[in-house]
Amino acid sequence: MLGSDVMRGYNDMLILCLLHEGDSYGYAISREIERRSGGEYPIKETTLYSAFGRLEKQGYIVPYQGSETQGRPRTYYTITDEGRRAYAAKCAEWRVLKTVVDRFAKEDTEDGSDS
Amino acid sequence: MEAIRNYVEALFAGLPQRGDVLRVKEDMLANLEDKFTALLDEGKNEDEATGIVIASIGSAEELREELGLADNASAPDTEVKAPHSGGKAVDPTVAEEYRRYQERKHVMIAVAVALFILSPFTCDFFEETLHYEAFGTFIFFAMIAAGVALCILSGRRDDYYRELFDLGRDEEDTEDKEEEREYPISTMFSSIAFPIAAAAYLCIGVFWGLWHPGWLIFVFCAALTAAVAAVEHFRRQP
Repeated sequence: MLGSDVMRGYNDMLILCLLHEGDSYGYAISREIERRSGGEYPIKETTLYSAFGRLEKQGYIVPYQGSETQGRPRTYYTITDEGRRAYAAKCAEWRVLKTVVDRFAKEDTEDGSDS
Repeated sequence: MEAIRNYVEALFAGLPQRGDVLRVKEDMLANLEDKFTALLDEGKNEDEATGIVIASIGSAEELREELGLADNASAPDTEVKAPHSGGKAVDPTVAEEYRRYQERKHVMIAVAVALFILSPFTCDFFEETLHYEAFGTFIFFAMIAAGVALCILSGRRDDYYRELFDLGRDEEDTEDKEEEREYPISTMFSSIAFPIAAAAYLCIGVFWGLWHPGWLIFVFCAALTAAVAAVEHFRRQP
């Protein structure tokens, strides 16, 4: 299970990714993140909703009131062009980060196979 | 759902009631309701669903950090309802004040324990290096008196806040529902254990001169308090 400190810096990317696929709202996004991570990353609500606020301030997403059937109206989010660019940049950054970290992540296998 | 709403209210109680913060809260509440309903539809009972939802929310610290409010004490105008207050409104500034009071209290207790531990050494110091025995004894008792005073002072506003937040119920109440009382056993434990430890430390020191290994009693006491707190925390998990 991944903790929030490990995922820090990538929560925005996950949210932008899902909004890239289509408009959505809080609960649906948190459910989808948990599902796609195979249960490895149940995102905390505090993390999720403050990320929405941050992304909105940066101009990456825009909220709007959806007309919802039961209970309160839901806040939906849609991604902006700027948000799409930020997402692409984040993806590029991740590919670099992944290869760099990979180069330092072979300790286990070598230790085991060498002896 | 009521418990979830109270939890969220409590979570936001210490934060400045700015527009963006309130939006986060409203948004969160609406979606937690969705989640709660979805869990009920899955066949969970209300208690289970409440537990799962609350566990997924995260802590007040995380929230502060995420919102970039880490050390931001502000003076908001709006009043929010405090946890367990049965509808009594508590000003967020009071919550903040309470947090600072708790910090101060912990520092005071730490200083008091340090005074207890150090007192016999100052006694030796004055006797051996300055050959001024009477003064050493005086300092010794003065330090212990100061330590005791700090212990007492550190808890002087406990009742005030307890009443304010309605944390500890009245006697009749606690008898009725021993299990559900809000107020932490670990706090009561430490408030009893530390004075006993101090008394024991003085006794073994004065009568047998065992000041040296004797101070370990405080370490032991602190470990025990931490263990009690951990067990308590564990038992509270749904």
